[in-house]
Amino acid sequence: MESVLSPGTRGAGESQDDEAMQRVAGGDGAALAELFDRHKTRLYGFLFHLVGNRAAAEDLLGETFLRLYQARRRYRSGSGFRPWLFAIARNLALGELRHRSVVTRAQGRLVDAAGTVEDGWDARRQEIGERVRAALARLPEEQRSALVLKEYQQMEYREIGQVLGCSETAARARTYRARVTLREALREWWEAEP
Amino acid sequence: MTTCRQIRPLLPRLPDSDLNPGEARLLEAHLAACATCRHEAAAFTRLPELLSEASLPPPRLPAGDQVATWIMEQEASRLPMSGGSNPAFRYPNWPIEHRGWGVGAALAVLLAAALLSVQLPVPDLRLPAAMDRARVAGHPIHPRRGHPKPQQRAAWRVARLAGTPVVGIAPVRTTGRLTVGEWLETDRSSRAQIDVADIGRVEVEPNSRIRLLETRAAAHRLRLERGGVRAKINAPPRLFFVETPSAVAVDLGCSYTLRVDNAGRGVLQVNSGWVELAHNGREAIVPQGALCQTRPGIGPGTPYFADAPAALQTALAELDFANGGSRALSTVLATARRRDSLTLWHLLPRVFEAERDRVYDRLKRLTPPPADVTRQGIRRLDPTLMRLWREKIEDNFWREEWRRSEEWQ
Repeated sequence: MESVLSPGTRGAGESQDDEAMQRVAGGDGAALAELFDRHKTRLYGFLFHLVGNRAAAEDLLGETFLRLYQARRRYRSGSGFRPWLFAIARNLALGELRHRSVVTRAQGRLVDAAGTVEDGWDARRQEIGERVRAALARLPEEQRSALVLKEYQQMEYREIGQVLGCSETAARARTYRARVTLREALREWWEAEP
Repeated sequence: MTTCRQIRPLLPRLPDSDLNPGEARLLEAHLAACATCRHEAAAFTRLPELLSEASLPPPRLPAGDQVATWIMEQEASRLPMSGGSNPAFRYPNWPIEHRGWGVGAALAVLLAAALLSVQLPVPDLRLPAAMDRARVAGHPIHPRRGHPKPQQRAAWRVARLAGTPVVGIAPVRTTGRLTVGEWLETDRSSRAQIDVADIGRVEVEPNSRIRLLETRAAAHRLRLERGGVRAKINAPPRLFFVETPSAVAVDLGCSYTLRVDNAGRGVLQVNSGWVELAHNGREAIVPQGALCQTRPGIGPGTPYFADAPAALQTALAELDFANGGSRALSTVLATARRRDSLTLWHLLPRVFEAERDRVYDRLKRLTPPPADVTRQGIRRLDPTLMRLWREKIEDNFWREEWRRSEEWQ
């Protein structure tokens, strides 16, 4: 899946983020608000896939931006705002999971959460969503993060590597393995599909 | 011809579209002849589409400006739970308490529309609730003990008076609920009334933005960011608070109007009873018939009566907010009436000691101090003596108010 943003647009977004971070470093609340509004939805999605719980994802989203603000002077322009932001979020999410020592429980919640979609939802879409989320939840965290960053955030492997603290090649490999695992997890259901 | 075993490793890379020309040619040739691999290739190609179907529960995310304000408040106050040195920090209630889905068809439409996108379909549904978690009743702060159990968030009833007030993003058609942490907003044509638990009512004027910070037996607290409220409270003193960017209004048993402009400047007008304004240790006690201006970074100015001479009001504003000097003080002292004694009493601690005697002398002529109150004591702002003199001023004030009401009847 390729980004819906043109490279030019993507570049513009990055420079906007950099510019906003410079203002945040100077204590500009409006710039912080701008960054939050620009990234909150995607970041929430990423966090949800990591912790499997809406309330936890919402909490961690706020915590991420609080940490961002506290670390505002450590950010270096041009080093990639999005990977930096998502790395903060991931670290917090992993801390959360470690704290509870319930990675498996979180995965279980992800599976459970598949059944929480609103009433009136298209039944087939709901079923697909449930199965895919459950399959995603069973992936090892590193594979899940890599895949979510690739497919939902349209990050480059270089950026994914920055978030996960690994090389570009390793990020590519994790995404690859995630796809293979996901394909296997969905095979039975998939084969039964008309 | 290449074998399936050679081709299969290429398939998970299909979503990336990064096969080199040689790999692409091999794949194309193989798929043309192998139905099994075609099926498998289709599965991987379709994977991103499937992932986009894995919709998420819609988040209840606050607006950026609210988050920024909250974060900067956290940083400014450096509350123990505000992270930083404590990596195990947790928010008990950051955005909103679990209240189920409840947005109904509109939500379904939003989500369905979002599904068409490859982005995560997670539209914002609610404005924030308890970012100000330190003051949220019933939610103690714990260092990372996991999320609190969902519980019923206290709420106040909101009734529409005109137009369409909004709680969060939900319009109030007739009545609604304002839960702790939520914002109520009115535009230029809307007004609303809030029931303050069981102790009174607040009418929210047009173009206002107000938030419920806490409600519990010992304190009920609102935040007025801008606009105006008319509060009528029937409760013991110090139960109801309205925070503004430049002061906190503490109800002492009264009704009053409080307005805040977009710059955070406020004005309080008390209609009956008393209201205390406080900010960073600076206080003003405002009786009925009086007003008090507030300014960000400064706090409350000196209260004055609505019927005070214009020259006094102007000079007071200079003293309070424009570094007014001795001349402004002279004007205040020269134009003050007996009824303005409370204004002068407020000036005693606000002027330099060298000027305090001038205020003392003028106030002494308008309302002679009780016997025990001495110049020396007032000069050093002895709290007991200050209180005794203020009580005498208040007694005189109420006697005068009673006389006025008798005359009016």
